[in-house]
Amino acid sequence: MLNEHTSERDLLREVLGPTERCPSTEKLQLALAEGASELPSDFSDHLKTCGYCQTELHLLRTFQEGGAREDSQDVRKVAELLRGRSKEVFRPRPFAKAQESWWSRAFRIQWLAPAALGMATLLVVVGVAFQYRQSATRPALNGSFQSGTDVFRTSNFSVLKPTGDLAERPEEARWESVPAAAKYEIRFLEVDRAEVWKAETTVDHIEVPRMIQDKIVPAKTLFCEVVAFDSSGRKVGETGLVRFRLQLHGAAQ
Amino acid sequence: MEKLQDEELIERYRTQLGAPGAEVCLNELFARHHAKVASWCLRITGDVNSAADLAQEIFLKAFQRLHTFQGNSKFTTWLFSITRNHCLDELRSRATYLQQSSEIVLDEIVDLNREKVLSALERRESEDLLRMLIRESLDETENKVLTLHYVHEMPLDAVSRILGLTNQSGAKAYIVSARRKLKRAHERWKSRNEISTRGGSRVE
Repeated sequence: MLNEHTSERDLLREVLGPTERCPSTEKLQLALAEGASELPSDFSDHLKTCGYCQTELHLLRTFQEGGAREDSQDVRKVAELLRGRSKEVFRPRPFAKAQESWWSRAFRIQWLAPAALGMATLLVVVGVAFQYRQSATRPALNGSFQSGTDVFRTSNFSVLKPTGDLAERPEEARWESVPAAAKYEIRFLEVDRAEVWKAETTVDHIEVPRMIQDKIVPAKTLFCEVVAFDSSGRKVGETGLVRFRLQLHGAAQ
Repeated sequence: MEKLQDEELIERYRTQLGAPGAEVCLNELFARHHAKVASWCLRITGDVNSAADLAQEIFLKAFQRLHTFQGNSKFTTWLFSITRNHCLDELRSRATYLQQSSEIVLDEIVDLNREKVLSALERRESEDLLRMLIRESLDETENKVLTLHYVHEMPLDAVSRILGLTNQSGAKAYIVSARRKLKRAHERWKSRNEISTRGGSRVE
């Protein structure tokens, strides 16, 4: 078994890395919370014996206590620099303001608000009337194609990878392109449908982050699902759940 | 505003989105956690300016992803995940430096001690054996040092700072000690196994 490992480093990473029994960070948080002694026994037993989870717990505790012990002068300096740069953090804000400016300014003018509301009501009335006229004159479909209800279909497309049994952890996910799609939402799910990863992209592939790759442990079945949306946010296609699994001897990277 | 919980501040931010009050909520929320993120980044980078840059990127990421916060965990846990992942990604992006520094340490250990602990293991044993040896021989700190360095690929100086190791050679000393312990534990296991095999029963 060990001959499959290319180096000591890989072997140690494998042995010390997370297993499928390791809980998520959100669940680990429970161990730090008050009443941690009331944790389910299998969870607390796992925490006692799992070096990976103990390390994660240490990191979480270190982070949460970081603010309480603001005793280091250097920490204060960094925090001070951050306060000074907070405007840079919120840099996208001016863009948002520019986007809303013309109409939001119009509404702020007191005398114009009722007029704008009136215009909006008129537009709604015209829109409804137009829709009514359209539906009243809708041409009938021919013969056997006619059905009782309107059906809006989303096209199905396929996940190209990851699928099936994998020799290596997937570094990227790829799927068939949907012509009408403006963006895709991809999710990795566990068999109980717990979400492992969710991301959005505008192209037909995406890199799987390293931290997510690390969660793909050998022999654990996962599902990949991609949903395509058009520019108005309407679903235009979906792949359904596609199973994949890292083979037992495919964990070495 | 100061009395509100983090999660309540986020709720208020969402309801006031687009109004000036939203930014006030966000400023208050992030300011509460400046020190936490600053302290963490300082442990990762070891210097004030790099830590401030890293922390700024983390808050920018948190700001951009705030809509994904579902309230299934505490805000600090959510922020911790972003902080840890961003820092680890940053460390990995300096992979060349990492690779060099790690290999130097490993070479030194091997040269100084002439111990090829895991090579010996590779010839005979499985991952399960190594897991058992780690569990039985290493203390909690050694285990954490190995996990941070080998699993999270954290450089040794960052590991020392994260774990608050104050001994002179920091995490490196724990790696040396862990490997020494593993070698001894393996030898003990080997002799036990040989005795059992000679006695007619093989220990798995």
